[in-house]
Amino acid sequence: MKIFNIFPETIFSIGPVQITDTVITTWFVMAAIITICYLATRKLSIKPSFFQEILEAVFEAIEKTIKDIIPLNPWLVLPVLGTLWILIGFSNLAGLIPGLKTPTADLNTTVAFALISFSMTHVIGITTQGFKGYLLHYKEPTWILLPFHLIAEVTRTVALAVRLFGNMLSGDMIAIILLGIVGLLVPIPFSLLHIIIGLIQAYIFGVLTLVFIAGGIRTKS
Amino acid sequence: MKFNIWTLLFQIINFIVLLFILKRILYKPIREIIEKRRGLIAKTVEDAEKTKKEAQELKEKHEEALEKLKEMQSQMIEQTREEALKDRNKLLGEAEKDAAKITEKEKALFDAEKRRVEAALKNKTLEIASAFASNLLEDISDEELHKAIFRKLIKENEKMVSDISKIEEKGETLPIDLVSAYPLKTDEIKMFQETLESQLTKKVNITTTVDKTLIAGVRVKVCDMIYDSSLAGQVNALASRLKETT
Repeated sequence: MKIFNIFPETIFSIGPVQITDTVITTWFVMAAIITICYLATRKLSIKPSFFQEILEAVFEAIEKTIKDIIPLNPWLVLPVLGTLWILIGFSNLAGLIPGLKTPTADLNTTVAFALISFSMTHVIGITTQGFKGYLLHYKEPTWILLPFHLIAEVTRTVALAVRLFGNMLSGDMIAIILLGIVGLLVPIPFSLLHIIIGLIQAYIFGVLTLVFIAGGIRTKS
Repeated sequence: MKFNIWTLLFQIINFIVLLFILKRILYKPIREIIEKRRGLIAKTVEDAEKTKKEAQELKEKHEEALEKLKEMQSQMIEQTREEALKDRNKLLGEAEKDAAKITEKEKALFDAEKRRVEAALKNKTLEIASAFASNLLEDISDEELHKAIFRKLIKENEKMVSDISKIEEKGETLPIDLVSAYPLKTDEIKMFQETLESQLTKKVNITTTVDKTLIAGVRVKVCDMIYDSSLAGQVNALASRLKETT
């Protein structure tokens, strides 16, 4: 039995349904997020407490970021985007806890998130300018670029998934390799770096999604 | 590392589940609280501006009232001043008038006094003059002069006669008093009587009296008329004429 297996394993199966440790870790992460959010939003009031002020500041920062990139009501995309950010961010950090595997170091997870981002781009594009209007943006600025638009749709989604997966996996691998080579304390700076990389990757994932949405609706004006 | 469709599906489901849960427990309450606060802030600002505006209006109103009050005050002061000036002028005018009246009265009084003194002086002078004339005449007169005057009276009696003829007497005879300085002789009286009777064509009754104060000459009294040709009478007449003229 391998002690340091960074790749996902199937823990148990219910019929054909295989439950991997990635999914189980994600459930833990979700449980943690829900608990924190529940505690955070339990006592909201007009006069904010210190904690509520931080929460509101975060939300206003998100709102402002969205407003800067897309010319729409921020609350149209904020829930999905916020959830992406929170879930990816927490998942990236979950690997720091001993015994847990980083869920985003599994390509299946990142592909799932990339598919969500991909579908969100089209949903927002279609809901804001109609199906026909949304399709018309593919022949901008000329119809010659249509194949490139279509290729870009695929490649950027794949890139989104692989970028996150690669970063996370590399972080985990470095930590384990260093731990195997030099011992206990040396991986700590790399783990700190891993925290930063994890947060940055979550941010990049969200912002890129926003940019794709913006690319889908900018043609309107 | 291998592709696992189940993991992928589970992760998508996980995401959607988390999205709905968070929408319920995180986004909705936070959005509500933020919007509520924004509304409150907007309302507070609006209220503050309204209050400020009201305060401004109130201030303007007060300033206006104060301005009006000041204007009224200055107006009242001006009015009072004018009234005081008017009163002063009136009082001054009255005082001047009173002073003029008093001066006039004093002047009148003074004039009267002056006139009185002048008159007294004149009377005294006339008295002295007439007394002097009387004494002088008394000294130089004698019976000859008396007779001459009498004769002159008889000769130049037209005036006397015309005056007497105007008197309408009821009786047949006209009573005549003849006052003389010296006693007259009967023929002289008779001559006078005859002259008169012939001129008046009327009977006259002459009574004679002697009065030394006449100095010389006679005084004829007919009824209430006196015809004086005596020296004393002449002096008196002159004196009274002088008194009247000046």
